[in-house]
Amino acid sequence: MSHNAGAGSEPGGAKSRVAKGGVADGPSSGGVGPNARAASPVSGPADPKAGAAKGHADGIAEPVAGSNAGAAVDPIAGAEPALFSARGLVASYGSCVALDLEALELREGECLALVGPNGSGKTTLLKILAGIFRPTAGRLFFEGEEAVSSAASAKVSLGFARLKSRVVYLHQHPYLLAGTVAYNVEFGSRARGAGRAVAVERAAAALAELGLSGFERRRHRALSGGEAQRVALARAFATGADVLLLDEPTASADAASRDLILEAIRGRILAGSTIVFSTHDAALAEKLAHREIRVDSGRIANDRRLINVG
Amino acid sequence: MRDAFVLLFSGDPETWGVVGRSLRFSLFATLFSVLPGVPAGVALASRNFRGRRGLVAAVNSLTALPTVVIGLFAYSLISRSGPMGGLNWLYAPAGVILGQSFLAFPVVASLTYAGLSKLDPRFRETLLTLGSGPLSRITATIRESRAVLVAALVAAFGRVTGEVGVSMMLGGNIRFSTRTMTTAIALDASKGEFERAISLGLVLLALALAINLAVHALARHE
Repeated sequence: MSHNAGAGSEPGGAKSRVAKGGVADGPSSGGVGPNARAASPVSGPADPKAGAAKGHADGIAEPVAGSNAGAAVDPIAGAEPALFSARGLVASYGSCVALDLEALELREGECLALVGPNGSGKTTLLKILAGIFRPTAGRLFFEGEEAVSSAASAKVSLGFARLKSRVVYLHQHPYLLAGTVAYNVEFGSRARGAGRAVAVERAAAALAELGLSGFERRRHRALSGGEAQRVALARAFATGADVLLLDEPTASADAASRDLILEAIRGRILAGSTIVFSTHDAALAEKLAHREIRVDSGRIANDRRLINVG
Repeated sequence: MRDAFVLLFSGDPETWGVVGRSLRFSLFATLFSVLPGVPAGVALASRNFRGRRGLVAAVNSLTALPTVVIGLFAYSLISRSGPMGGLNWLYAPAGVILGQSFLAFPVVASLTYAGLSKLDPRFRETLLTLGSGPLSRITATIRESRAVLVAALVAAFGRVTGEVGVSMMLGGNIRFSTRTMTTAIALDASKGEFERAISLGLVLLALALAINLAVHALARHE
């Protein structure tokens, strides 16, 4: 069961780096840290819909405040601490640096699309945000508390506990436990302490949300790729987590499953959940996200706000 | 050969008594080896600590250790001058079961480790991100790898059922007390009484076949 992508794992032989100068030492409450470099991606608005309120037409993109695209600092961004705040995150697999992130902030209720080619570091970033992958260097703060760092002791921190209680990650090719659909989805609730009755209730609601009512007794092996993806998403919903980290959520889905998944995600966005999803599909990001970050070779190539309301 | 079948199918009480005793010893030894063997295998597979590779190599090597060496080790523990000498387990069923447990432990630990190491990395990540606590993770892991665990048990059972060194050294091959199928075969063959030796050999052969079929069936199911 040992693997190099699990919680607490440390990429072996990694070329360790320290957070570079110019990266703030802790989480900043504002969009631009005092030492942040011009190219650093910074926070989006506290209210993801704020952009629309400022009179932008749907589909028009605006560079995020403080980015090297030269936009003005967003006054709303400094209103409250970021939900996620990453500083100098580096993740390496041997000598290969998968992620090298100066800074990243994400606000409550925001829907962020990570767009980039295969191997650009999207999955590594999502796994670090989910607390299931330990970076080689750097720190991640959640609700202002340190949650993830290169030190194993971070796993017992208050920030990590908060992160674990609110965040759930969905693999690009989800892993379903051996058993029925009901077992899988109820497991999502029960793992976080829900009683049997609550778990059954939540599972039924989540399955219905993804068009899977009646699938309860189906075995995991009898599902198509798209159905398995929906079951895994239902399981993530059933945990009650309101921060969803979705790795290519429609990767295994056919057209029908894709529509159901997107509809469910849109519903969660409108309900105020914070969502980060990765995709190759720039059009999907435009359609769904409030903000798009283009990732290339482990670095942020572009960070811009999109004017979507889900 | 014909006499061997007659002895077997006539329900000879001593022959079947030996078979029953052998199976009983093997069953208890397997069960007692599971208690430390499965957690050891789980720990080796799931925890990354200094010296883990060396430990894995050591456990794997122990699976191939000659039974007389393990018998000798157990003998040093339960002989009168040994630290457990006061228990009077030498030449008693308890002594045979203890020695066979030592024999089965590395088999269970090694196969559990090997099976769990093959679990999909996403399985562990899924449990972690869903928020599973330690107990929930253990039960889910056992459930997920139950075929592997059963295969480990079956293999350990086969290993102790077929051994002769431990039973002979620690049990002393005492009639109606510690005589097992393998020690009875060794004794009968040395006396030239091949009927019982062959009949017990047939039972062992049937057991080995059944165990192999069970392991293959589980592997295919997995």
